[in-house]
Amino acid sequence: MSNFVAQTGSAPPLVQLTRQGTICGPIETLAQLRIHFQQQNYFRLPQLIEPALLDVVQKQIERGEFYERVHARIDSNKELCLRENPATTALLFLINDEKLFEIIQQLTACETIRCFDGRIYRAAPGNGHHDSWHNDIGDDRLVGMSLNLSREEYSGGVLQLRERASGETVSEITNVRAGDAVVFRLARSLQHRISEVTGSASKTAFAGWFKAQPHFSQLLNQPRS
Amino acid sequence: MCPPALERQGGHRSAPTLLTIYHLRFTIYQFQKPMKPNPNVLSKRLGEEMVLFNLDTDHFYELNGSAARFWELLNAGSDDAAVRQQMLAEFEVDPEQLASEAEALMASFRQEGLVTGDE
Repeated sequence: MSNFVAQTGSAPPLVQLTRQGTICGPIETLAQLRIHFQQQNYFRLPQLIEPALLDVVQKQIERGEFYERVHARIDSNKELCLRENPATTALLFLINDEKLFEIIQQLTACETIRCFDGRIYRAAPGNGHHDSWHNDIGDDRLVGMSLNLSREEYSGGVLQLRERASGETVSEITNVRAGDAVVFRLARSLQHRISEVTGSASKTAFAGWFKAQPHFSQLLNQPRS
Repeated sequence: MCPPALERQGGHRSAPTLLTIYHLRFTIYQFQKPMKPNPNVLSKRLGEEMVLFNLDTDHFYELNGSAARFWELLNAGSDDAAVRQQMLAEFEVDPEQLASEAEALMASFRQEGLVTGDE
């Protein structure tokens, strides 16, 4: 744990992405996350990204350009998506790490992870950015993850999970501290969505999926838009 | 042309000389200052090789086994002399050849902005 860089007054990191790779906390702490995932379908990874590195990524995002995007496979939705930017490449570079894959596999009991793919999105209050219930199943996706990159603390933007059959909400997960991540289950029996962002601050996050295919070396070679 | 003006001129003449000497010393100090990895460069081991990503330029780099080890030692905070000493201990290489290759590697690192003289 001594190698972790922690923010003052926040929960200590259990796993942290650093410039030199992934570092991991004691196995007994991680065992608690596994139980939490079994029972609640998600767990948190506080300060997943090293604070100084997060700041560099956030500065790159500030220089970037967002465009409005509607995801075709979800009923009604709209968000801002960051165009090709070193911040996205850096996060893909950091998260596509064999050690992190092993940890996520152990904690979620999913099949072999070979890559993580995602995008940086922004939901601004009062701009009609919203999401509908969906499950993200398909395209070799195994487990979902959202990493908060917002400079300011936002309101709303809650990750909600519900049973598909009954429509009963099973978890509502706020994740307002920058650098923290939420890892959540993908299953046919579960659906998720992000509630609308309220207040004045926007939510900016890197969201995506740990996947069974392709190998991450192929992913990093692809041009991104 | 009165003596006090001349004195002032003289005074002004001596000041830049002192500044120049100070600047030269500063330049020498900068040149000798050890190079450190740019904090905006991410690295990842892939077997024997290493991949670097420079967030400032959005460029990737691949390092072979020995260059990867050189980068690791540099990242661990070793100075240039300590890196070379460790490399000599780990690799079967002639000291002169190592010195020449290390110099070329550092020059490439500098050119690509992968290392910096900043504290």
